[in-house]
Amino acid sequence: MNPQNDILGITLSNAPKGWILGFAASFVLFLVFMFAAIWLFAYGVGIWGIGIPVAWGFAIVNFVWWIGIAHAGTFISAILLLLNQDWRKSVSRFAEAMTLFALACAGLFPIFHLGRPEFFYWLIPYPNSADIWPQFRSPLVWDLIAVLTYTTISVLFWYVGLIPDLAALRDKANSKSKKRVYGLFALGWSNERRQWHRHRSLTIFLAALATPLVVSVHSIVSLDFSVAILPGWHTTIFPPYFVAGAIYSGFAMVFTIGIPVRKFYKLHDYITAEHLDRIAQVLLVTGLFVTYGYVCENFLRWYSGSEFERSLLHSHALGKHAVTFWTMLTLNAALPNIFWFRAMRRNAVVLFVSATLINVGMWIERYVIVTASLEHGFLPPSWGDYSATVWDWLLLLGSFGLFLSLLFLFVRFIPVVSVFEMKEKLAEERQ
Amino acid sequence: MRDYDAMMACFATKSQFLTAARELKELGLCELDYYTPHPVAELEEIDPFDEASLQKSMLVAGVFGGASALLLEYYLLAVDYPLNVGNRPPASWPAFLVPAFECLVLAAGVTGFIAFLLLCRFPRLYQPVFNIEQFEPGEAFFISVRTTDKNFDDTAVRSVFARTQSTGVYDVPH
Repeated sequence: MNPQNDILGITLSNAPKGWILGFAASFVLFLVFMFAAIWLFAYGVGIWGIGIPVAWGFAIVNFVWWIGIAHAGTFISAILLLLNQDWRKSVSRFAEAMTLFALACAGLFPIFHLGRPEFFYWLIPYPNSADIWPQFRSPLVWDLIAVLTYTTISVLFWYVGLIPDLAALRDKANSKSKKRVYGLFALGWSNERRQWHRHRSLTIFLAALATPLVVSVHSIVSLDFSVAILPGWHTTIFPPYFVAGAIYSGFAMVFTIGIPVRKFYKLHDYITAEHLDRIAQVLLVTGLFVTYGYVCENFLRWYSGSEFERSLLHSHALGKHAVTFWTMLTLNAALPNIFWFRAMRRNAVVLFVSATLINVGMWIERYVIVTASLEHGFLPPSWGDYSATVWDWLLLLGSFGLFLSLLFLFVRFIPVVSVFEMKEKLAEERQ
Repeated sequence: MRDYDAMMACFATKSQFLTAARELKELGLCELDYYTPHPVAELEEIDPFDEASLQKSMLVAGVFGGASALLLEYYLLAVDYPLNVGNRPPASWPAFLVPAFECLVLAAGVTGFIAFLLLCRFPRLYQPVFNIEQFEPGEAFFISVRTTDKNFDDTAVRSVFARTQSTGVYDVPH
């Protein structure tokens, strides 16, 4: 097992036919995304299914869902680094890339959902003739700062971790142009001892910074809902519930995209059954947190005695939203329990299918939180209905085009597994 | 000034590399560069390097970034244009702490990255060692002794490299 040859070999060789087909399909989907976005900017948010009372629909559901997926990458590369979990080394590069691309998708939706997206810059405190400033007490403004910070730190963290591998690609490059491009981004890294020292320092400290970010960013996103008085939104459980759900759906996405990549590029020596097992265990644990969150939330809705909360609970469990609600519970709370069984945790097909279903389930959860609560406010006269339009669906499915296109480009041009960390691990094992 | 920048040797195994490093330190040499496929912890005892500039700069930048954000929020929302919303106190510090924390993290992270680049003098696309064709720090261990070292002695260094079974000795040009 030679990480240098195996992993760098994939990056330096020509694109396999499967890659070309996959990238082409993703790019077509990305073009669908661009089309839906341009139509939106031309005709306004009325093309979506939103109205009164449901003024937030798919755009916010997608925003929360994609940000949630981003959190798993940071969890794997930062938090597991600080906890000295060596098994993360094989998947951290890939997971961190997934974070960046999920953030790219997530960051667009808040701009899309604005009625006048051309005024998005009003959220930045620039001196203006109206002498007006953003409301820094609002989670909606916190969102901007938090997501920008999270994106910047994630990009830096990913790039810094990439530098030694870019240098290895520069050294092993089989063409002048590749040597130049990789060499430029490698910044002249020469594996020197002082460079390693500073690199390790920076990695650990960026990981230490990224750890509270994982918790704070999704807590801030959840507070978008918590600070409202709407039944179904006005609950203090949302910050930990959302963060747990984020890590849950993110790890599921690691499986959904990681297992096909592992199979196609034959990375079974690097991402072993042991790694799959550990990620499945994380899925089980976070699934249990999410289940506990559901139990608390719904029990307290009933226990509160508030007729508005109880009415919402009735609507969820037995009324208008019953089908989506129980589907959500089956996929998010019941399904992960198959991971109690070792055989299930090590079966790639089972993992792929269940991870995809968990992703769908978590999207449904966000859908239920956002739209079902808005549909069923305090008094019956303010109740309404929401149904998504074709533009809502095109934008959601198209965002996968953006995500997958970036992922295909990553897999093509950047080492999928962190080569220098693999070398370090092999050297330690030899001793 | 000598006609070459440094003398560099290649070692196939970590133990040979560490033995050579120890012997070179015993000769009183201090301008040594070590090139390894991954960080080697044992070098810390042989040739300690504890530079804390990165951490210090991140800490200072973080505190400064967080404090600046807090001050900005306070000035904008409590001094310049305070809005009376239900007679709540305009200096709502619990709410202000949230963006201030994010700005602290952002400032510390960006500063850390810039400090990393400055300390390593990146981008440094030309380095004398890149002239050596056999220089492959991703596969083997290299030690480079700069000729500007006051204790540099050609024969002594070469004999150390020979004794520790180096697989090649190279003169690194300027």
